Amino acid sequence: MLEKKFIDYNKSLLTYKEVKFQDIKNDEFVQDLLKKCLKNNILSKEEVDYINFGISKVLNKQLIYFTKNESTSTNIDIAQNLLMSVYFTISISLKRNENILEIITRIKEDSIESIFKDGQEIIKMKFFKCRLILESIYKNKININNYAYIDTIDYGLGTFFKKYDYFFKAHEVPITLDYPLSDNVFSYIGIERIERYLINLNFENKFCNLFNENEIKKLLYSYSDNSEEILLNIFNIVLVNSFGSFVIGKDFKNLNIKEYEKEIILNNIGNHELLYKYLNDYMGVIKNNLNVNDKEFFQYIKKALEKLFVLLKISYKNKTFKEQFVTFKNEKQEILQYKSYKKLSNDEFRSIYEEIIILENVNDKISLLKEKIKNIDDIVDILSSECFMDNEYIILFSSLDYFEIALIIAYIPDIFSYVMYEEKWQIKFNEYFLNLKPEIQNKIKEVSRKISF
Amino acid sequence: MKENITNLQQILYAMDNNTVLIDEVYKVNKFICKYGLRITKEDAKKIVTVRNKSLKDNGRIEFNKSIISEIIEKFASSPYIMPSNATETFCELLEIFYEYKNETFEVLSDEELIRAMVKYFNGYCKGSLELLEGKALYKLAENVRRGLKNPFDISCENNK
Repeated sequence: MLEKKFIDYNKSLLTYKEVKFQDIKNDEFVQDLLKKCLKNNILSKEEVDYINFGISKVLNKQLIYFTKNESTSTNIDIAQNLLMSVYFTISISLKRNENILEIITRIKEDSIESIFKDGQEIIKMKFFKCRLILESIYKNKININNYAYIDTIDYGLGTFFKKYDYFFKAHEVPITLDYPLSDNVFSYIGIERIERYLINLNFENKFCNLFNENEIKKLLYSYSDNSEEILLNIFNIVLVNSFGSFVIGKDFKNLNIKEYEKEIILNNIGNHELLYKYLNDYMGVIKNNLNVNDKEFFQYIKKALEKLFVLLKISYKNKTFKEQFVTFKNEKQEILQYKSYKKLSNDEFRSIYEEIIILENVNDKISLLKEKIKNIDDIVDILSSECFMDNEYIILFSSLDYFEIALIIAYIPDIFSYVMYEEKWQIKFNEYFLNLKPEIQNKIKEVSRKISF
Repeated sequence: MKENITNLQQILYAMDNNTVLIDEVYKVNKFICKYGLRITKEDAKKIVTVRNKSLKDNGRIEFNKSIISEIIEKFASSPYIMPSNATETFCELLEIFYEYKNETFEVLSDEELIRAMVKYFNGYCKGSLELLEGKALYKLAENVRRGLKNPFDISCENNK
């Protein structure tokens, strides 16, 4: 009898090839599986109803647990959420079998409850496995300053293990994964999303660990002035430049692509066939340099290279090919040493303060301030002492040259952060600064970074 | 989301069985006959219909077993329920019950809510369903939301 069923299923599978494991939605696996099987006559309506009945029995039990058997009814949103959790848990168990035939056999012949329990056990194992991967990530993380990267690894991921509820909310991911990966994991839910995220992040870290940390830092700084704050994927940026170096015969660990080298890369791989060959050769070099024999890891690198292949092809057409590679910014950064005038004594400061505060005309106040106060500490003290009123601050800041503005920013590096908005002059300073043209803002910030006290 | 709701409805359809429910309600006659009350098959059907509509209106689902028999049994001894108005009253009590399961944010168990309903109905409300719904249970829900230690105390002092 069983044999006959297998033959029937095979026949159905051959006839309705479109139902493939890979085609079933990850985040709605059971629902999509039943829908597709029903559509392709792999399962009959009665069989789907019977499976739904099995699911309803499991849902019923979960609802009883959830309400501690003190309630016979519940809000539909709660039931909906519990059902999603049940579906997810069942799908985790079914996904152990990688072809539709095996999955259908199980869902028809095993009780839904036993599949659900099996799913719960797998989730527990995955939870444990994820903890181990996170430990490995803590060890392998790159020492760079990108807030999303640091926050996600140091704070976000650990929180998952405190908040995840495999029993009632197995499908949920109770944290946000801010740091974007090369291969995103949005099609997964629950523990699967975290598992996938951790595995991928671990791969990316392993790859980046092949490179010198300072080189990566220079690369990121050259990629964007705001590389600390923006959402970027370190692995992808490293991969592109590393591949570029490889193409022009440099060590693949050299992450600096000089301007003239971009032209050589373009000449070398403008031809798509050659590009593909280079990507394969590059893969070989990476394999030789990494002391790991993890197929999945190399699959991940390969997938990223395939994406890179598409990106370079498109950029070639759009004539933005060279822009894909990053040239390091001038390493010898100009330093502007600030030589301060002597700080005023308390008596001197008080006397000037009293002179300024009695003046009614803002221009007179500004002239006096510029004439008598030369030290940055004193300037900030005067600003804090509220000698100026509301818009007088704006007039004052407008009268300063851009170097003086840069000096204030360099003196108070956190001036643009909200927690620093304690004093009126800082609020006005932000108002003034944000009204400047973006290119001027960037220039001032650049100068402020060079100032040393 | 729409698809998820459809899935839930399919699952709920598998869980719910009106015929079994009607029989269950009908069987409660064994218990309530001593109070001179009786529910016909037609009454039972009507109660189940009201239950289904009320669950839908209040965005709730029932699982495990139905609360109908429990409510009928607990209210059957009330001096304010007459054979002439029994079915109507049970229907309204059922609607009020589901409404206040929502209003009390699932904090109260079924048993606690029914006990409170019986107490207010027979006492403070003197059989008035309007008072029960609009005043007593409204106050109870407010007390629950305020996190009072004893939310069931709906006396005037507590009202302030």
